[in-house]
Amino acid sequence: MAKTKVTVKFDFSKLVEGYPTRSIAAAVGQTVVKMSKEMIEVGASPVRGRRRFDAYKNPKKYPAGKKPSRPVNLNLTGEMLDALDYNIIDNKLLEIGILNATKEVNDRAKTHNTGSNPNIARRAFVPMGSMGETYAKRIIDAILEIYKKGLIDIINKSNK
Amino acid sequence: MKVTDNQGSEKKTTSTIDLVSDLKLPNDVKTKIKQDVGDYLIESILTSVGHAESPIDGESWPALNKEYRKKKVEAGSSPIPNMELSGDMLDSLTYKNTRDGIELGFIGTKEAWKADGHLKFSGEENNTPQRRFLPAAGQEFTSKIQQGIERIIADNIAEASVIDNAKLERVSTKADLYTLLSNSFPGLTRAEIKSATLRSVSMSELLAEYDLLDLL
Repeated sequence: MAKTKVTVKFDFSKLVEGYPTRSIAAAVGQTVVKMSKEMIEVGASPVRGRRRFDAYKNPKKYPAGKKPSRPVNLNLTGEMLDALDYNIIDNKLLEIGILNATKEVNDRAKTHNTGSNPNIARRAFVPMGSMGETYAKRIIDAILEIYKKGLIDIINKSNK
Repeated sequence: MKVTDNQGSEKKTTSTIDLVSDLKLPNDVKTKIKQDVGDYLIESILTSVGHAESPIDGESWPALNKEYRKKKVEAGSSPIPNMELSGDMLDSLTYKNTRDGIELGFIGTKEAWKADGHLKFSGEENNTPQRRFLPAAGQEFTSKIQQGIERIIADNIAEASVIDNAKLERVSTKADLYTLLSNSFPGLTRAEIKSATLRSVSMSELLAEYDLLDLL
C-alpha cells in the first residue's frame, strides 16, 4: 500500500550558475520547519490564508482535559510534529513535511492537513500544491531572504 | 507605510494603514501589495500574540493577574496573556482593502468591543491593562515586522517592473545598473533596489544572464 505523504517540494535545480544550492536548501528547510512549528504551537496555520485552526467541536470529548482546548495546536503526544522535518534529494530538491513517520502518524497528518474526515476540521499545516496553496507570507518572506543570501555569496566570491 | 487612524467601538475596532498612497503603480499592483501585507500582518500578529508578545514597537504587556490566570486555566486555556480565552476574538481578526492601504482589525463583529478593551482605542476604560496588538495612529509595528512590510512592498514593485533587455546590454558600471533599475523601481532606495532584485528569481536570473549580478 502506498504511504500517505504530507509533504511539499521546492525545486532548486534551475538557479544561477555557482549558486550554493545544498546549503541554501538546508537553510530553507530548517527555517520553514522552525517557523511552521512556531505558528502551529499558537494555533495559527502556516498555510497562507488559513489563519487560525478551527476550534474543537466538543472540548469535553476532545481534548477532554488532556491538554488546554485553546490554542488548537495539533499537539497531544508530540509524535506528529516531531516528524515535521525536511529532506534534500539529489542536492537540488527540498522536501518538507511529515517524514520518517509510522503509518498511523502519516494517516493522522493527512486527516489534519486535507480535512479528509468529515468529523474533523481541516487544520492545514503543509500547503497543498494541488489546491494552489503556498506557505504563509511571513514564511515566504524568510525564504526569499535566504535565497538572497545565496546570491550575495556568489557576488562576494566574484568580487574577490 | 504609516498608520493614519484607529477606532474602537462595539462594532468596529481597527487600525487604518496607508501602504500605497505615495506609490505611482498600476491598480492591480497596489491591490496585490494590500493583500500581501494584509496577510503578512495577520500572520505576524497571531504569531506574536500567541507567544504573549506585543507586535507593536515600544509596547510591553503586563502578566495576568492571579484571578484571571486561574479563570483561564479552569476554562481550558493557557495561563499567559495571549489574548485567548475562548479564541473567538483572534478568530475574528481580519482586514479589508481601502483606497490607500488596508483597515486591519475587527469589523462588524461583537469581538470588536472585546478587542477595544485591550487596545483602548475608544478611550473607554474597562479596568483591564492596555495590551496593544494593533497600532494606533502614529505607532509602528516592531522593527522586524516593519522591515518585512517594506520588503514585501519592494518585491511587488520589482515584480511589476519591465526592463528593456537592450538597455541591460549597454550597462557596464554599477552606476549604469542602478540608474536603469531606479527608473524601473520608482520610490525605492539603492539598498531596497538591491534587496528586491536579489529576492526576485526572475530579476536575478535576468541580471545573471547579462553577467551583471556582481555590479549590485
